[in-house]
Amino acid sequence: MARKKRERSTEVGQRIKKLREERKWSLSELARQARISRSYLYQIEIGKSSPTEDKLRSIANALGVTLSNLLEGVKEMEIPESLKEFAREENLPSADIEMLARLSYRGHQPASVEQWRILYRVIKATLEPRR
Amino acid sequence: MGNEFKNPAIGYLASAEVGSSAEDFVLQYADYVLSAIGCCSLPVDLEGLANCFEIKVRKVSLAGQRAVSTADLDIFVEQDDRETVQRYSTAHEVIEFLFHALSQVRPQINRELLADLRDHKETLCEIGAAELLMPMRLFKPIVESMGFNLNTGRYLTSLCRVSLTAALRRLLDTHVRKAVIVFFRFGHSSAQYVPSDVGQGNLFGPPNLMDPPKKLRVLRTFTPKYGETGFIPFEKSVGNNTSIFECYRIQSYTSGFDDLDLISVKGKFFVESIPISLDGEHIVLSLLYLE
Repeated sequence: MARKKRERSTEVGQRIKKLREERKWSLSELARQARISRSYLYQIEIGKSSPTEDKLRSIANALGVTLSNLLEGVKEMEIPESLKEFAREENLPSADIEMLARLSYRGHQPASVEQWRILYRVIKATLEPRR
Repeated sequence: MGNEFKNPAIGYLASAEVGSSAEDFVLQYADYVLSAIGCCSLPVDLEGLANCFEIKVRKVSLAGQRAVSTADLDIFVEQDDRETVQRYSTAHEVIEFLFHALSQVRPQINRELLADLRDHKETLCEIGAAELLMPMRLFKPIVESMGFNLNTGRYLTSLCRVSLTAALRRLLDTHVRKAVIVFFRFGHSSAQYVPSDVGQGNLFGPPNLMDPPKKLRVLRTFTPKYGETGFIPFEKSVGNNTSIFECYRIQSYTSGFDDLDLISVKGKFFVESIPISLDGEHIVLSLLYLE
């Protein structure tokens, strides 16, 4: 059981490291964006520490990916740059980034931060009272 | 029960035939959805369809988008669009659910088909939406009984609660007759030098007197999905002695045999035309019979 948990932590850590390096970010940069300490992030990346879901969400948000991307190692969801920028500006939770990234359109996907903002507000305003 | 199990496409994928083309795959999905709601007449009851699958359709301001849907079966359509456009947008998003489902389950379909589906998603959703709102098995018999013409197109527009263009494009796809739809607008070609556009007069007079004459020119063409109809170039003009021009002049329905030279469509053809308004501009919509 403990071994499985360790293996899982290692896999998640490796994914975080890979995504961080793809973005050419240093440990310090990602730690700053995710609001965790550099040494803690290092421990996560090498699988020595199992982060809480909250911490993982912060890391996922900073990397502009979804929590399931980190946990399940599925192919990284394509998140357009404008959405990443919007998500960073608004500090969106990963569930909302995932929801926006999975939207389908008749026509074109939003191409600017402002378009994402309008769409996000409309959807949230409509869906929030229900949830 | 989670929403993913209400997605009609999940049930379809469980029973979908392997080996179909991407288009057939989407059309069969549309047929699966129509069968599920017991559709046997026009218009297709989209509200009933939404209720059946617990799909929420909301009319909101989307600031530039026609329609958006979430993986949780929420559809948002632009509130300012006409009802016919909203219906088409809704149908488009119901087809999009197939693509949502493809990313949720791992269907037993081959990679080539999967790649085809993903590469042509938008086109396939439009084709699927047409089938959903105007199922060919119900649409074509009406064309065969009423005749292939503009009047039938207009009747089907109101029966199916879709736009005239959508109904006429479907009319072409019945292949009851070989025809194309052409939109004409009155104006100069973009390549022409128009002195009044640049305010450039000369010794012979003011700029507007130097302008070349405006003509009725091809704005847009729709051809049937299959079958060779030839290429009709953008901005190619038709003469002032045609029934097409007469339609523009009198702003009323016309029909007749016209001598046309639209490159691939060259010769004498029977044409039906009606005036329409596009963003406030007078346009002529013509049905050109190619045989």
